[in-house]
Amino acid sequence: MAVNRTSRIDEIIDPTTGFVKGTNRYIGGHQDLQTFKRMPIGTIYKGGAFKGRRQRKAKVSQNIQILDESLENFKHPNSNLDVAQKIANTAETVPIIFGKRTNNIGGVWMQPSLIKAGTDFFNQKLIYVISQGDISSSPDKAKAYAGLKKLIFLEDQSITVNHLYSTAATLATTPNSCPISGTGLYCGNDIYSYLSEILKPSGSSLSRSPDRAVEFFDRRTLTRGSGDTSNTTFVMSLQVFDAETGANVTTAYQSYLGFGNMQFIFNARYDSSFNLIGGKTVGTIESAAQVLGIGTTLIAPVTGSSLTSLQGVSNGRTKFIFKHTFVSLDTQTNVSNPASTGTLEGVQQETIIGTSATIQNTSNDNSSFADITFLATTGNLYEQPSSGTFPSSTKQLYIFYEQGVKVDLFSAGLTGSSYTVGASNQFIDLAMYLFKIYKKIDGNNTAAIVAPVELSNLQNLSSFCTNNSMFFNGIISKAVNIIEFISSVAPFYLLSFLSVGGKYQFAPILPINSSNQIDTTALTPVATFTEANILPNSFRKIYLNVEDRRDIVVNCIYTDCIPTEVARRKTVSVRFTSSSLDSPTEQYDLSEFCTDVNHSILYAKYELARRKHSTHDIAFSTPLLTTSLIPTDIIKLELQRKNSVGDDRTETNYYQVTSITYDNNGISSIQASHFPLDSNDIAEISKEITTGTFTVLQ
Amino acid sequence: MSVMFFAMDINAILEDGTEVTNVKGFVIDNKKVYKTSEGTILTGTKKVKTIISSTILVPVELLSYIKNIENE
Repeated sequence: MAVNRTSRIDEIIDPTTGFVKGTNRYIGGHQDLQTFKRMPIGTIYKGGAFKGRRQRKAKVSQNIQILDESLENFKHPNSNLDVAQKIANTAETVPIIFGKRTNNIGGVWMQPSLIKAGTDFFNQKLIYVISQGDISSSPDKAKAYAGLKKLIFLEDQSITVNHLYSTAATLATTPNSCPISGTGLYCGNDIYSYLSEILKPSGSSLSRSPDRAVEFFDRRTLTRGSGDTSNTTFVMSLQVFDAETGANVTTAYQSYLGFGNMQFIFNARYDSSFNLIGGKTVGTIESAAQVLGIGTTLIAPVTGSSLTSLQGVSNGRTKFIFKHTFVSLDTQTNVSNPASTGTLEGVQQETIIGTSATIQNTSNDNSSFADITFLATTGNLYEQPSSGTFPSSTKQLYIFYEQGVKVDLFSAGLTGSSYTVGASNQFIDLAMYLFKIYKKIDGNNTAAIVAPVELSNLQNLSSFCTNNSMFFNGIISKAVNIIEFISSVAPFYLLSFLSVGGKYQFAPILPINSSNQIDTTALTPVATFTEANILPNSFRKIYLNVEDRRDIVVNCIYTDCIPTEVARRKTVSVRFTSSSLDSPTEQYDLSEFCTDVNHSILYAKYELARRKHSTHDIAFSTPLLTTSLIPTDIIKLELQRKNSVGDDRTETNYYQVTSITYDNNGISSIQASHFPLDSNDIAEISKEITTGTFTVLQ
Repeated sequence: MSVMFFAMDINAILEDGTEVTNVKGFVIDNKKVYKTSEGTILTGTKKVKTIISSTILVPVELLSYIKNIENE
């Protein structure tokens, strides 16, 4: 007996009706309650009306992307500057600082994330992530703030700020070299320094012991207080706890050490004969490694039988918490001298942990530091260090850069056979830089044919941007799709980013003249279309929604950037003078890159003029060869208008091409937006922008 | 020569069974040295065998390092 097998469901069921093919049996989806039609298989019936919206499900495995887009990740300073320092998150996107201050406009203020912190002889050492690439400007502490305080006016006048940068080529050659060496901080997560709680002449304090089975360390002490403490010492007792279980192992630990019943005297000072002669003065620092004569190397872990004894303290565990409890204070340790008159706050301990005696482990591969500019600070940015790697009450660092990352200056054109490298404020240079770091441009090959972007008009378009004060001074702090980013930002520079013939191309969205200014002379359309070359029944015309044409106030947000004050966001409102003050507002956010109010005003005028003059969009197909036509070109349509009551006239309109699609049957489909010319063939939108009457509120 | 003065007021039993007080402990050039108040180095039969009590002058973390150092 023959058996017919059918494995695909669409061979059984009509997917549009849900009926078994050739039958009236329905096994498809739900019935649409409004149309009473059967819904196709797979359609999800969402239920009836009058229901609240259910909470959206959370995204899976997208935590860093969510962080990327959060306000918390913004590297532009916000309105509230008196906030805690942001600590870099694992896998946080390294930002790009792009910009250049020219004619007292521009530059970039940023609030970097802190990536490493430590202490070296009680001097704060901090490293911040600034930018991918090599930043052109040197950091200047006169143009940096910790919270609301300018670094140059902080109590610690010895603060220094420096950039650290290693090229990818350098680290490819010597991956084991540490790009941050010499800063008091080290490459590798297992090499670090921290402050313990201050041991005070009152109460008790806890400190974490280095793991003496594996960690190399040094311990430094600092006398803290005020006034004269030269005759003050204090005594504390010790309890030891297992860091993992919290069990009190004091007796076993004391037995392991073999020093009997111990008490600890702090701040003691003795003479050359090792007689106790008083206390240390405020600010005295002592390093155990230096006292032991091993210089800057670290104290090695215990080994052999001593390690076995240590492991016997608490079932093999070697991490302990020490709790010192105050016993007694003596302000006249040396009775021959008068009692101290100052106040001894306590003794603070600084610990350096490493994986080898030489501190920096030279076997680490530090390639991940390549092509990133870091900012290293030395000195007390925070005035009251207490414990941990840095004080618990930190303030966000803000720093100004007159010049951002160094890029190939396509805006300046080739110099010989290469592009000059330097900071730029040209959006086009940023776009090309993004292509370069994405390895879409071969830096060694400047031939136009290998470039992903048409190079021939980049200089002219950069001049157009310069002529109209349209500069890019900002930070890219999110992981963006390059094409999406460039395409989205380009209109704010009155540019369009096109894909033409397999290559990307910039084009102005308003016609420009040979001086790279907005063209307000008579235009000649690139092509003319009539009934003769528009395919029958292909022409469509769609009028813009009335909402998109009514009078509005355009509100643009930009960044007011001056070197002496942390940048603030500002708004500028632009409307036709003839429009009412309380017209609806539409807002455009240029604050991520615009630092010139004139740039914002120009864009606002463009939006207003386009809304006023462009009334509709069209689409049609043509067999005409249109390969030289590109989006942004101006075309002319001459159509014969006839109706049943005798109207018969030629209608002429001008449009700006917005897209062209080529079919493999030789037909080109064109979409375009109304782009009216006046009786002198001058673009109405361009004329309105340059000579229209606007009211600007700043 | 490097000298670390790590403990004082040490009350200890020596190898010969005698008890001493007011001893000081040092690390001198990577050797552990105990001296009486008169400056006598405790060595040989007078070597420190067991410490009963002490006043420590260095951070506790250093004691495991000092413990590991050979007596002179």
